[in-house]
Amino acid sequence: MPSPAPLRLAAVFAAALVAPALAGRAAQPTYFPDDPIAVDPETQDARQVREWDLSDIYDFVEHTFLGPGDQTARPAVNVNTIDEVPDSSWFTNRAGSRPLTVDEVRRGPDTTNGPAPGKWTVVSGKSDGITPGFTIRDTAGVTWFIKFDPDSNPEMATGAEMVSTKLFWALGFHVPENHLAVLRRENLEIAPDATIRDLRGRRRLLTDDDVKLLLTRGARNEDGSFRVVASKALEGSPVGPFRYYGTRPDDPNDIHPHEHRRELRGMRAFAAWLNHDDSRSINSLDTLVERGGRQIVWHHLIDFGSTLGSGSLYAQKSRAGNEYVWEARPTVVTALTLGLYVRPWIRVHYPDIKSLGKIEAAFYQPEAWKPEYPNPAFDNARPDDLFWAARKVMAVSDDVIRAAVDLAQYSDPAATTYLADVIIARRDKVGLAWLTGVNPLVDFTLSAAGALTFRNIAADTRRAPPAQSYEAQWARFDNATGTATAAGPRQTSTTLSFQAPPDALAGEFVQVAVSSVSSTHPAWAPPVTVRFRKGAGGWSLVGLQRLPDKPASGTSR
Amino acid sequence: MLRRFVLAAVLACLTPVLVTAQQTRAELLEQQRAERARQLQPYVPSKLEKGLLYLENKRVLERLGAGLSGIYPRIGGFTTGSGFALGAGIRYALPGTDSFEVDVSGAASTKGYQALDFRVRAPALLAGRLELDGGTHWWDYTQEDYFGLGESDRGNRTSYRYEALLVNMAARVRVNRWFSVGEEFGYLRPDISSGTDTRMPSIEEVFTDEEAPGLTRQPRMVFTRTFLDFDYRDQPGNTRSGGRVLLQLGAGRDQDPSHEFSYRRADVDVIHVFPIFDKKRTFAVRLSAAHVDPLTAFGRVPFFLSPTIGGNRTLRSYRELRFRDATYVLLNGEYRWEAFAGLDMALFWDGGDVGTTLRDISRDQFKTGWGFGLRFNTNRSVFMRLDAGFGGPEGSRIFWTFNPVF
Repeated sequence: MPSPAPLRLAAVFAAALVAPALAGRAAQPTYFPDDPIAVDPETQDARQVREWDLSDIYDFVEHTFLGPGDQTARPAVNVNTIDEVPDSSWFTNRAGSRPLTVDEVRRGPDTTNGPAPGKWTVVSGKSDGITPGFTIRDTAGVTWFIKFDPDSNPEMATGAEMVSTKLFWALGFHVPENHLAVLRRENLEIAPDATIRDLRGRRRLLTDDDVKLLLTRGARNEDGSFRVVASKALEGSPVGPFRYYGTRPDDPNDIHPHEHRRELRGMRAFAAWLNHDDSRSINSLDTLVERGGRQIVWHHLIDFGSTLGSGSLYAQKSRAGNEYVWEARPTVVTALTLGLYVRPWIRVHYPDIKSLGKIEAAFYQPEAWKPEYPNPAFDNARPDDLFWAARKVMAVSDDVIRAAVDLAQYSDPAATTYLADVIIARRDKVGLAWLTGVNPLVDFTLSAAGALTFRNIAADTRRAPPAQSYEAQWARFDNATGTATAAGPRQTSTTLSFQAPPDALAGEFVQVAVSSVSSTHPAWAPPVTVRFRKGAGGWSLVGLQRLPDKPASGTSR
Repeated sequence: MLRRFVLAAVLACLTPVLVTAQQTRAELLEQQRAERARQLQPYVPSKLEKGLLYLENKRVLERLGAGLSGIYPRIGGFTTGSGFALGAGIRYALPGTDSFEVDVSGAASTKGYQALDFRVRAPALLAGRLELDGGTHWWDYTQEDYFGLGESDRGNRTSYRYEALLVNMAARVRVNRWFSVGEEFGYLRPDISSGTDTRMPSIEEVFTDEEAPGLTRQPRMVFTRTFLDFDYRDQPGNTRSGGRVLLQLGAGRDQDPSHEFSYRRADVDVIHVFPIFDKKRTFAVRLSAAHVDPLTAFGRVPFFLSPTIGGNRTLRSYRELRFRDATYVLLNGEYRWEAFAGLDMALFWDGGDVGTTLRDISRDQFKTGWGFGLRFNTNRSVFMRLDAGFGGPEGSRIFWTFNPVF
């Protein structure tokens, strides 16, 4: 017989195990009255966040060899109950959530027409980093970062920056306001307190020679001027880049591990589309901004100079997008075969268009695309994350793409046409790869009379033939307990609609699980489970689950 | 005690009941954030990250490569066969000038080699069209190899000590992006003495002044050199396409009234790299030749100024400085393939010969060898190279250096 003390301890542990379960059941319904939320409430004041500086080399070493972040296969944690990403300091729903006009995308994040006319006052120089440049203040007192094209590829980096800025904005990210501008040496004046970092990393006063030296690195126009991108300083005070894993330990609003954020997982599809191989911490920037009387951290993607066919300082390398900087297997195979094994991407032909660098769509395979080195959020992306992203990509129309490419103002019309065609073709490949990987039913509605309608987005976008038929199982859903009770027999339809059995509609919530039967796409068989709530205006969608919490096959690296 | 523990445990378990009783999703998220706000902490990087961040912020790696000012480590830079050399230097802008920099450095090697260099350099005068480079250099190479002139026997390996003071000034005019011309003049005061390598005899124990001209008396030389440089390589430090043709004509004047050691010299060095597969595979070839003549009928060329082949940049299956004479011809061929972005591998073939004149060079006499190598590189430069040379009659050799072969 156990002694009394161990018994008491056992009772304590039993209480410890049971209490949370009871508490959870008693306190949390499956759906709250405000579900699905459209905005993630970031309500804590974050003014105590301090600027951090992350090591670029460490970032490479850590991501290449140490595999940071939680790699367990689990659904994205920041989606709302209908599997969408609420607006937040990270993301604003645009493409795919509402129709985007050409003018809207042309404008993007812009609040001005670029630097104000008049002299540009250089307030600092940037001699380090991938791309050298200046920071200037225009006559309106606005600060701009000036970036150049490499001498070998005029218009390339600035063009890529312009196009990708607008398209990443359209996809929903927070990006800087970038404008093409012309820099003339005689239009520059150096502020008396302008500085530049010397080779020891110490700041010293910027001299005229520094400016001359920096200008030697940029591509000149025929008249001696420079085509540049003027990037407006972001709103708020910079506090450093964000990471693609973990959370920022001093930010009270940062409760979702970044590797499990839907928009960062889905960015794998966005980056693959636009060949943003440099999608890593160094090309992000957090700023502290004022919102609703409190300071919060706002997250931006910056520096799109290494996207599309541009490698910022040179035409993009053919490896970019096809292989990590370091991968053991192809390295060993190449080494041991004396180079007779030639990686397939090495043989890819690119048209010789200097202003575009190296970009193409024929060899491109979205599923095989890779950034410079592993990205934990990309690696965690599940088919439902990529489906979500692919929907957004496919929602960017041909007209919008052509408008974005026009903003690059390539002097060669053939370059404009080619790039737009390539982006469109790559977009379609993204759709083909990831709209078809899960059951692609979307836009569920339930009428007051119980008529369910939906769309097959893969078929609608002509990425796949329609399913042969659809199957539905209705259920009454108990929001308090989270349990579903089947209502009516399993239904089959060859159209995109079903009629709910009357007893399914008796309660406040109704659930229907819809499978797609397709001989060409067996991955469509797992049902999309949707739930509706009865309100004054009829039934409204309150829940959607496209994949079960634990898919049969994970997406770990 | 136990009661208090049980009470605390139960309270802890019930806490979620109290704090998760929100009415809305927004309240739930707000509560999670409020909870987190109570647990905030500053970011503390690991020691490794701290260290790497220091390297980046202080731009240590950039300063190692090139720069305008600051202390830097000096790695290598001696003659082949000097052993591993390490030292330090400092570069700074010449006070009162914008374009001139001073570079003072010193180094010593594992074989006791030493060098001190003082340079004043203006790399980009006249909008980059003119480069000036001059200075004073002292070195003490304690155990250079000498095997004799011409078809020497490897059993005659000796060592000598080569100490010298050099003062020079060079100017290069860049006519355009790929073509430049230049002129160098200077003064050389060499001093040859017994070698310090205890594994072999010193030079004077085996060779006479007849067999090693300049062994007894070392001339004070005033020299000039004119060069034409056609350089169309894509990256001089890690060439993947393009090439270079460097032609040099020089003369040295012995300051002794006899002018015994006055000479004239011609060098040609041709390199071309043929890329395939997006420059991931390259075939590199090189032809190099040099000839030196005494300026007077009875003159001689000091052995330590004679053209030489052998070693890590010429014949990699032979020792450094293995062959010397008035003339040499050298051929190198390399097939290089990129294993990954930071490493190229190579198969190479080297062949060369020395003779009194070009007529003495014959294919039958060519010293040849082959081998393979590893080249650790960035896009712009090879920063470390390992080459293993085989195939010659004198065994195999392994070279570890910090520069490209060509």
